[in-house]
Amino acid sequence: MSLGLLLIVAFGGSLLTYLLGKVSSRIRDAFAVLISLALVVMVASLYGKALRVPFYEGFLGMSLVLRVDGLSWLFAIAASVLGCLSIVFSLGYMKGKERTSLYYSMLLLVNAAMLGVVLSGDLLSLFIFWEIMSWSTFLLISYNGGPALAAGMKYFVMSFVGSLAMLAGVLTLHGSFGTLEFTGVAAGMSSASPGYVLAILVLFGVAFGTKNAIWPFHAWLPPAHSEAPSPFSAVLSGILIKMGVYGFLLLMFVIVGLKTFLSLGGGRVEFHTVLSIIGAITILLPTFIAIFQNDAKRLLAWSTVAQAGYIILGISFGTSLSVAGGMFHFLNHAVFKALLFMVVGAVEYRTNGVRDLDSLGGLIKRMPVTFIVAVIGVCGLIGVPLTNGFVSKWLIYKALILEGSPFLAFAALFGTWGTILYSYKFLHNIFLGQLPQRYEDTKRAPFTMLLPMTILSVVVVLFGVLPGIPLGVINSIGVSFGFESLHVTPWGIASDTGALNTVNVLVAVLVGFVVVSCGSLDGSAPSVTA
Amino acid sequence: MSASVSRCSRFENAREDTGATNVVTSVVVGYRAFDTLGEVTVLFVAALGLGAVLATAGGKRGRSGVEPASLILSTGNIFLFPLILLFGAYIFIHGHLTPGGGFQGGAVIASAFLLVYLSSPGKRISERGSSVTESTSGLVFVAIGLLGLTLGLLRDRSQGRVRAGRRRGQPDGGDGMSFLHDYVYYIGAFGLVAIGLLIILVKRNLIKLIIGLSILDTGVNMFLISVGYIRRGTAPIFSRPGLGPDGMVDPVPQALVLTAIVIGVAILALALALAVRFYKTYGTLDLRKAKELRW
Amino acid sequence: MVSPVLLLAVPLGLALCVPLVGRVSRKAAGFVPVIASLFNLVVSIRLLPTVLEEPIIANLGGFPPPFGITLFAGPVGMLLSALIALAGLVVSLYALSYIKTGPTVRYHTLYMLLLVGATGVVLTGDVFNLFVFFEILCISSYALVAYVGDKAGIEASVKYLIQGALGSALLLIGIGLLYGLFGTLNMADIAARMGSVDPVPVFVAMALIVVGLGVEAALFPLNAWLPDAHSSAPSSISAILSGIAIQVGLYAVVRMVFTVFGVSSMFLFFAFMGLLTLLIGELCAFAQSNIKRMLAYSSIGQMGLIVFALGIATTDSVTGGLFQMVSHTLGKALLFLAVGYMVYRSGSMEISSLEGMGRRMPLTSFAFTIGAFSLVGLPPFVGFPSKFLIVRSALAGQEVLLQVLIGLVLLATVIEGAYFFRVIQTVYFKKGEGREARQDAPAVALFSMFVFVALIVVIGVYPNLITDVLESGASELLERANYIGSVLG
Repeated sequence: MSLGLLLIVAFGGSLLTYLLGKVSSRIRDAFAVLISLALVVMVASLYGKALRVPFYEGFLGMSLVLRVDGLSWLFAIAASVLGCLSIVFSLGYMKGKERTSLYYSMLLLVNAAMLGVVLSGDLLSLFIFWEIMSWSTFLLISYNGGPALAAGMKYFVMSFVGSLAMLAGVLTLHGSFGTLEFTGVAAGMSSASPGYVLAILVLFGVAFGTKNAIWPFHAWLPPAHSEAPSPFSAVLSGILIKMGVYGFLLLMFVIVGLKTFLSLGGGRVEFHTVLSIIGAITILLPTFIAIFQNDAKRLLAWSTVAQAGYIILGISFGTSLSVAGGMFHFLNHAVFKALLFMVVGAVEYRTNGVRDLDSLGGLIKRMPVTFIVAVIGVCGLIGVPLTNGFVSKWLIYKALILEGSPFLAFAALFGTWGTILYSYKFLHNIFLGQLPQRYEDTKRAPFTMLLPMTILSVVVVLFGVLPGIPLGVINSIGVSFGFESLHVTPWGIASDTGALNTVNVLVAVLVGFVVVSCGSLDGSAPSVTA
Repeated sequence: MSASVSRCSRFENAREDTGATNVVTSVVVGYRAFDTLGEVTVLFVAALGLGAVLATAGGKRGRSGVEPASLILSTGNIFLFPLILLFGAYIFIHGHLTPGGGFQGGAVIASAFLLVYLSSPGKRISERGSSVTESTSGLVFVAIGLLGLTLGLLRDRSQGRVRAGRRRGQPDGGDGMSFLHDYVYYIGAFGLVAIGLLIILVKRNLIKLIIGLSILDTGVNMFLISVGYIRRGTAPIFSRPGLGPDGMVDPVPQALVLTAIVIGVAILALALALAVRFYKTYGTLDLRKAKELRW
Repeated sequence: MVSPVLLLAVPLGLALCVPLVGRVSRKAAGFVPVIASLFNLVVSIRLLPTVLEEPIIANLGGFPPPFGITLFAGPVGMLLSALIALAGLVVSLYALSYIKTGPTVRYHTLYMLLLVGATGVVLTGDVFNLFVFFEILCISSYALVAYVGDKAGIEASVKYLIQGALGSALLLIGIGLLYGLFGTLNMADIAARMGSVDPVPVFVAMALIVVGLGVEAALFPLNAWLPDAHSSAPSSISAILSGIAIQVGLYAVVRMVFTVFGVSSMFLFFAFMGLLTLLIGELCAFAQSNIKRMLAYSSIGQMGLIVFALGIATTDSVTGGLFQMVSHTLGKALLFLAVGYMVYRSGSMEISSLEGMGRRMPLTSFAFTIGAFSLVGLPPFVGFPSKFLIVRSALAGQEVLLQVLIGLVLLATVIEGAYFFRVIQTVYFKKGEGREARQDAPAVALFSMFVFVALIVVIGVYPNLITDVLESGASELLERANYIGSVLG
């Protein structure tokens, strides 16, 4: 299965979608779904392979290569699956909207560019696909007009500054080492001076940090994610910003190398510690801000910023456990955040564009399935046991506590408290409480919306109960970075200092449930409404 | 910086090469004919530009409102017109032996036609006729050039004729007066240039600006000619046996100036046409009043 | 062997025919520039491989230097000649539908003569000949800027003319000085003798010549005329002015400075001036609300970038600079062509009047977007490899100064992105008012725009199609000795 073919299908599909849209919108929609499904299949078939494909020799005297390995496969599968699900969701959401051909083709283009980014084997290809990803994202964010325009501009300017910083970094590396392939650069970096490595990290860090929206480069995210069309917000929060995570992982562990990365920094302050602290700040502040949001999408957007903090905290902390936790959290967040944005999208769709938390309410009566999947999503976000979020957060807490970082552990925990608060607000204000008169006739979400949401919620639970499946992949990535392997079982992780075993958790929850139920068998059921 | 005497010695074969006695002619229509082609094109461009700018100026000038010329002028014109033509033609044709030539002759001939315009204001020369003549004459020039190109490619003339010539010597030593004598023209030229520049920078009236431009151009041309001056040199014409290139001034700057004058005239004409349009649009010639294009 | 003189003689001859053709049929007159440019394009491309091996020297009339005038067709000259012909061809197709009112026959003639002047400048090897063809270029453009005949056009033309004529006068003084110092007008000859003369008057001559040519090349601070002229001219002429004329002017400066004068110590100064021009141009563009003025300032900025690249004076950077010339021609001409019809339909040059154009004129808006993306330097369009080359060449040497300067260049790029993207948002994502009837540009105009679009995409994805030519061009500019040797033998 050729990597080049995959990208051709992806990019060509985007172009064809636009052209087909001129002919018939039905054909175009079907085609878009088909292409995205085909991409999922193609990526899936690459599992376990390690390939290197030079696909364009001699671009200005440089070679462009594609490659696939564990790291890129993980991100590729996440991107393609999420892309496919959001297109399916869009089938319902975009009914009756204008300029849909542009929308679908851009959605596919973003998808294709993301695949290009994670499948690149050298920094120039990475940059090229990164740029294509950026401008197509810009077009989609601005799609709705009005306040979306300012959001789009803000996104673009910040992202472009990041891109150009990356360009400077790429060309500096090329000037020093003469090659841009990851392996070549890594070889060069291993003998480079710490100052140089630090400079490169900073340059790329600006780019990846901006895309990832970590503090202080986060300002673009809340407006952008809230003003974009909701299926695209799902993609944005779910996978697009994780391209920054991919970048960091690539940079820190593949190019710079584990050892150098961990030892970088002068005297007391180590670089990776600084990054961890930035991650922690990114958890704290935005969580706090999310609590006060009244716009459902903005709340979720701030939540995304905060969760990105977890991921960064995990991967920069630098232990085998924390990195695994960070990577797993990226995957989990993709799943449940996309799910939650889709929930909002469904509610928006049925209420004619309302996302103001103050005016919604009681929709549990009208959109029950949506409510259920929303609950599952929220549980994942909070980290309720048996959901995927629980496992990844547990890994991170464990790592922080083991290494004795009180501030960081506190930040992580506080983040979870805050998450509980704003998640509850989210759930309550949309679904619980009184159903306002004007929403009496709200219908259920259409099938094309329920399908992807259900799939995602199943994944939330599946990864929560059987975390070994994804963790196996993640662990092998960690090993490839040079971390020591975690002992992964289907139910969890076995380690010396206390294992995570979801069977145990399941039993504990069941027992707890029984105890509580018995305790309140006197008739007073815990009330659902607050 | 007076030209070294020997700079011109390279032209000793000019008569055989080009068939002209006047070395300036050799340069203008022989060695540097391509420049002359360009110069003709510039004139053509200016004429077109003028036509384009004034065409939309709107309004044909009616016969009314134009004063008829005085009796003296209209009568005198009948005699003068053919005489001026004759004189111009003489200068033109005899230019290969004495100072003169196509330029000067042409200017005189043109003045004859201007006299006709002035004396009979209503008369018009058919526009169609003149545009056809313009195009055709330009075409003929180009065609001849192309013909020469094709034939010339069959004969490579690049061997033999080059005489490097000795380059810059020092100007002949002499008394203080000779310094002035050598450099006075430069002083004059720069004076004109300075005046022209000053006018352009200071004045706001469009016509005055254009006049300043004209003075500037004249100064530059004077400078160019001065570069070619050689003490005790005479006009670069093989007018008598025994007069070799050593006794002449440098013909190249003179040829250059001919072209430069034409280009200057072209710019001037276009500028004046624009001034007319400007006046019609803004009602004033004050450049400060043109505020349409802000920052 | 086909002689490069044909590149000048044939279009000139055809230009002189236009009024005759125009007598017969006004419409037919518009096809003559198409034919002439097509001819030039074919000949230039046909001669390109030849000149990559060895430049073609044509001694006109058979007279060798220093008697006669020499044409020098090297990689740079041929590349630019092809570029001029290409842009000339495409824009003349566009003009078939765009130029409908006014003295159209004169327009077409002047247009062709502008192209002849430009081609002459890039192919000549003689400084006075340079002046003559330069004047043909300039005077045609003075007239064409005023073509529309409105207040803005006349004012812009007057200001342009005065500044241009001033520059020409200074240029002529410089040329006169050169002749006085060296006794020859042949570029290679002067270059060969450069060391034998007292440097002070040479410096004066160079300064005069650079300033004189710099007016047309839009070098800061000589470019005050540009925003007015490029915004008031008819859009087809704006496309040629921004896409060809100022670049030809810049070529003239480069040829004189690099080849004739050969001063390498000045290069850093040029790099600085280029950077300054870039920043000022982009900042001013950002502040504009008139779309054509915005594009005009953007041209100033891009010229600054090219000068910056040339000022660094390594093979890589000069290649990048030449590449940037190509991508700027393609992108900026496309932008002006698209804007031409958008402004025509909306009736105003204000950016705000372009709201909703994406719906009314989808193909034109698409073309505009491609042009904008290319100019900002986004892949996969041609602006990316050109900017990439420039940045790469600046960072290759690891000099701190260049790294700082490149940082400023990148900053200017962000500003550029911002104002272009703002327009794209207005075109696509703002709801326009009034009739939303779809009425795109005429087919001929769309065809011409999409020729540019196709080239932008194709060369953007396969820059190696032209990098050979560009690299040869770079070595031609940087290696004076070869130039001198080719001409003087």
